Amino acid sequence: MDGSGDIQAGQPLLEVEAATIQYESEAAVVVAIHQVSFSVRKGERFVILGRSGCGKSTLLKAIGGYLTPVEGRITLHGKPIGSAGPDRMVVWQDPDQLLPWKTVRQNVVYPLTLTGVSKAEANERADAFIAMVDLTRAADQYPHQLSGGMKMRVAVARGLAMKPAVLLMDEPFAALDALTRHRMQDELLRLQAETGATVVFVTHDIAEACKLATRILVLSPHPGQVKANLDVGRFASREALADAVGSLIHDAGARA
Amino acid sequence: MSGPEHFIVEKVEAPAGARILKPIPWWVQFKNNGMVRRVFVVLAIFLVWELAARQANSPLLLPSVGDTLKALVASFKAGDMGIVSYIGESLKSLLAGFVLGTIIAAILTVFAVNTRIGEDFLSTVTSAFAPLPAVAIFPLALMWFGISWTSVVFITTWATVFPVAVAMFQGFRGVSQTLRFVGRNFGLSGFRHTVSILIPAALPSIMTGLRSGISNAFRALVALEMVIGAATGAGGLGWFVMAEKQNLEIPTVFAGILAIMAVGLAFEGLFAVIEQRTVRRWGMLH
Ligand SMILES: Nc1ncnc2c1ncn2[C@@H]1O[C@H](COP(=O)(O)OP(=O)(O)O)[C@@H](O)[C@H]1O
Ligand SMILES: [Mg+2]
Repeated sequence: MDGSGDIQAGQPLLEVEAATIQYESEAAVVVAIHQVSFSVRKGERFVILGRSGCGKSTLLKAIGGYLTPVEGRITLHGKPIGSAGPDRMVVWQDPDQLLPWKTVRQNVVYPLTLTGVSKAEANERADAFIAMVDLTRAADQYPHQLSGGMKMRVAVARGLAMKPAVLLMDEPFAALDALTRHRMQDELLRLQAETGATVVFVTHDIAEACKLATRILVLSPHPGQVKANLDVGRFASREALADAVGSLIHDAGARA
Repeated sequence: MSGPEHFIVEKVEAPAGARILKPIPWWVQFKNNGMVRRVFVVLAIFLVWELAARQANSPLLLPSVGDTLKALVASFKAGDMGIVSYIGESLKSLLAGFVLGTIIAAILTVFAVNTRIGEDFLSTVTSAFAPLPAVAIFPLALMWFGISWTSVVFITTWATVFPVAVAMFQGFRGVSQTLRFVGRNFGLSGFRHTVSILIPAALPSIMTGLRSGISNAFRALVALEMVIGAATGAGGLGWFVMAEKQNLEIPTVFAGILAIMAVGLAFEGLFAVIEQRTVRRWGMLH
């Protein structure tokens, strides 16, 4: 991938500069995100945290290239992002994000072949990532035969197998039961460590944010603005982090 | 890692060495088989028909099942003059109109999906023509194309277009935003996005549309053939039935009606098989 070699771990990879994003309908203009800036470094697990309705999905869709900010800019490797593409693979909240007419393996192989990876290599890589999410035995199943958690794991495998510059995740575990959710969080930490992937992860769950993040961007609602940008490494413990984040979220909610 | 979601139950079979305590009686298994029940219904209808025919004892009004089946077999063996060539004629008119109608429906759908005026056009035209049986526009076809095969294909095309276009449009509309985004995430856009994501995702509706399109076209065709079959030289099953009625070959008339039903059922069966191997297998239709 061009330019990616120049970016060392720790250097800014993705930058959002004073982005304002709004929805326009005949009746009104809704400002969902107002003047938001932050940067994500290579190898980070960057969590965007905020109450529901505060613009997290909007921001993620803008990074993904599905929405265009009315002001500000978003750059990847120093270049303005284009329309949606495989350098920013997305794991959506909706479990039904796999192509129902393809098996688990085909779901992972297909986008790889679209980006010009040879059939043999695509198969090999798909099998490796399917093994990584522990779904080898389900590789020939169709999505409707899988549980919600399994579908999510396929979506994560599909995203990571593409080796994107950044993996975008929009509350991927919110629809799962608590036990499955905790296991998926552990698994994501393991996968991220194994692959060194850069992850931008959206959630409204404080505990989840504290567990997963190397950095937490706290958004306040109406319109979505940056309340705080926390380096997790500066906190003495996860408890201290959770306390700080908790009061920030509380403030953000109370002010709105 | 382990957990309940790792167990994938494909099929429940009796474990080795298991003893069956209470077998399901054969007649219960029979009762639960849809195909068996349908065959049973058909046999029952044949039985009632046979009894009624014997009671009426008037072969010109109601021939017996035996005579009808005999007539059917005889007509099958008659080669060029027999029912097979009439079935062929009907299929030709039907498929020509069905293919053409499906292409036109696809074009209408592309406009309806991509432009507001296209959508307005499709919804207005379909609701305006919905109450109109396809044969009702035959006088217009007659005016424009005369008594010809073109007129016949015009009607079967017409009968195909609207049911197919409506279902296709609804199918595309129903594709979730998530799947559309997934396609764009793969770098797909325009035509490739349509072919690789939208069409397969809309396939359940598309199949339903094709199914009702072909049966609508077939019904219109048979009615039309009864009116003009001989004149176009195209004949067809509708004409076969009418002609045999004029010849007072009543068992053959009944045989022809059975053949019309069989052709309709054959298409139903074909679509059922295609659905079983695609959308049902993929869990997109239950
Ligand atoms: N398609 C849309 N049209 C109009 N307003 C929208 C649309 N999507 C989201 N919004 C509004 O934008 C705000 C942010 O939404 P969203 O980004 O989905 O929040 P979150 O993901 O944090 O729950 C909300 O007030 C929501 O009502
Ligand atoms: Mg959201």
